[in-house]
Formats: sequence, C-alpha cells, structure tokens
Amino acid sequence: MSSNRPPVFTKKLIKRKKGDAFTKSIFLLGILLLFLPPHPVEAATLSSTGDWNLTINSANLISGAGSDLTDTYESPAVTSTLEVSGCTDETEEWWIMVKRVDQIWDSGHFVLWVKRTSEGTGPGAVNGGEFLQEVTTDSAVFVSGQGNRSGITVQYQLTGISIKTTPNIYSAAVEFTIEP
Amino acid sequence: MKSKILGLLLLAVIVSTCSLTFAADTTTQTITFEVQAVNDITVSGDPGPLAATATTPATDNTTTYSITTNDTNKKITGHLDTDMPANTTLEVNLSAPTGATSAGNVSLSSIAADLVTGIDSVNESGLAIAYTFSADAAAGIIATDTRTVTFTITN
Repeated sequence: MSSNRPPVFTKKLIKRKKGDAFTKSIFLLGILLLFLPPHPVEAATLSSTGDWNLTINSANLISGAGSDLTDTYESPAVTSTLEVSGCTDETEEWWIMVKRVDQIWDSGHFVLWVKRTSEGTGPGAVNGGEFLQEVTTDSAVFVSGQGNRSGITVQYQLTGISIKTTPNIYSAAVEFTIEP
Repeated sequence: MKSKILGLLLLAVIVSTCSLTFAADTTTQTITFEVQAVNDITVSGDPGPLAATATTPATDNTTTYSITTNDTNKKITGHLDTDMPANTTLEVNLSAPTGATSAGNVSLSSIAADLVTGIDSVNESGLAIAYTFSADAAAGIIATDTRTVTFTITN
C-alpha cells in the first residue's frame, strides 16, 4: 500500500527550507530598515553650567543662641544655566526632565526645589518651570519649549535644615534630561 | 530553530540601532552644602553685686543663659579669669537644657569645671543661672572686686 506521507528525510528537508526562509525574511527586513529614509532626526541637545555650594553655620541661627537654624535656603536666582541647541528649526518641540540623584543626603528631612528664573534667549520658546517644584529621585517634567534656547536660568531652594541635622557635607546631583 | 533565534537577535540589534537616534541627552549639576558644628551660648547679663557676711551668703538668680548646639554629648564648663580671694567661694548652678544633666552648685576657679553634661542637639533659652558668694570669718573685710565668669560649650 502506498502512503501519501513523505519519508522522514524529506520532512527534515522541508523543515530546513522553512527555517532558511524565515531567517532570510528577518535579515531582509533588517537590511530594509537600515536603508529606510532617515526619520526627522530630533537632534536637540542640552548643556548646563552652574553648581550650588552652600555653608550653614551659627550665622544661620534664626536669632542667635537659643534659637534653631533657619529651615529654608535659596540659591542665587542665576545658579544654573541651561542651553538647548541642535534643533532643526524653531518649531522643533522638546521638554526637559529633572530628577535628583542622591550622593550624601537625608531624604527624610531635606527637600530640594527648582524653578526657572528666566526664559533665556533664542529663536525658540520655553514654557513652564516658573514655580518651585520639588526635585525627587523620580524624573519629572521641568520645562518644555521649541527650538534652540540659551541662557535659561535656574534657581534652587533647600528646606528641612534644623539643629537636628548632623554636621556633615551633603550633596546630590540634579539631572536634566532633554527629550525626545 | 537556531537560525530563527539568530535572525530575531539580528533584528533586535538593528531595531536598537535605529532607536539610538532618539536617545535622551542628560546634563548634571551638583548641589553641595556643608552643615558645620554650631555651639552657641549667651547669658542675659551680669548678676547684681554679691555682698556676703561670715554667716550669710549672697545669692543672685536674676540671670539666664541660652544655648544652641547641633552636636552630640557636649557639656558646659565654667571658669574664672582669676581665682577668688582666700576664704571666699563663688558657686554657680546652671539649669540643664532638655536631656542634659546639671552638676548643681559648682565652686568656680581659674580651672574649668563641668557645669552641665550630656547635651545633645538642643536649642533653649531662658535657662536659670544661680550665683552664690560665701565667705568665712577668716576672709576679713574684702574690698569690692570683680570676676569674669566664662561659660564654654565643649566636648
């Protein structure tokens, strides 16, 4: 009696051919992706300058011996400066995220705040960030805008200081990230 | 099967490469602040004149002190600029801030003596100071004199 089922070696040959076809498809798709017309490259880049250094001592007592240390400290209005460059034109949209990366920090007491104190200059525009916002260890939108912009100034505020704060040198990094 | 895995891996690499054109740009600034040790003490003023007899000491409870420290296990010591005349004694008693311990009446001399110990991170004002000046008969008559009392927050 004859069988319609192909012999085993033929089955293997059929499977190998199917596998080869799959791999070829993936490879061709990958090559195709490489040669697609480039997406409009959102090349906005971000740079910044300006750290904040602060010393807290007996001069910061609210009213001399017997009183506590002042709770709140504000940096100069122009402490850090942000620059957005590399935009294709003044309509290219971007936003800047901000977050805190602790180095030596007392997150149970210290709170860091940030706000934008100028719009900077340039053909683009900048929005948001005019009011103090808490800088946490989670990324959050700080400012948004369009086009190139330079001289966007930033101010910081630190709260949570008291005589219960152990004498030490504390620090944290503030990360600004431009997207997309 | 292997060729499928290889193919998928290759595709993943290519897609990842394409997505690199959208990588975010990050810049960092640093916030650094130093909290220095704070150890401040002040007194409200000078006590009144202390005139004692051989049988009756003189006391003054009119002055107070204020203290702020952000440190731990501090103490207050006191000393005179010059020792008292023979056969006379000047004592001081400082009330302790919260959590600390007063040494009670302590005779003052030119050598620092502990007045309050075990002071941790505290800010208080209006803490009582009590002076007691006494003399025995052997002191005789002593002309009016002054002494400077210095209080120090120390380890």
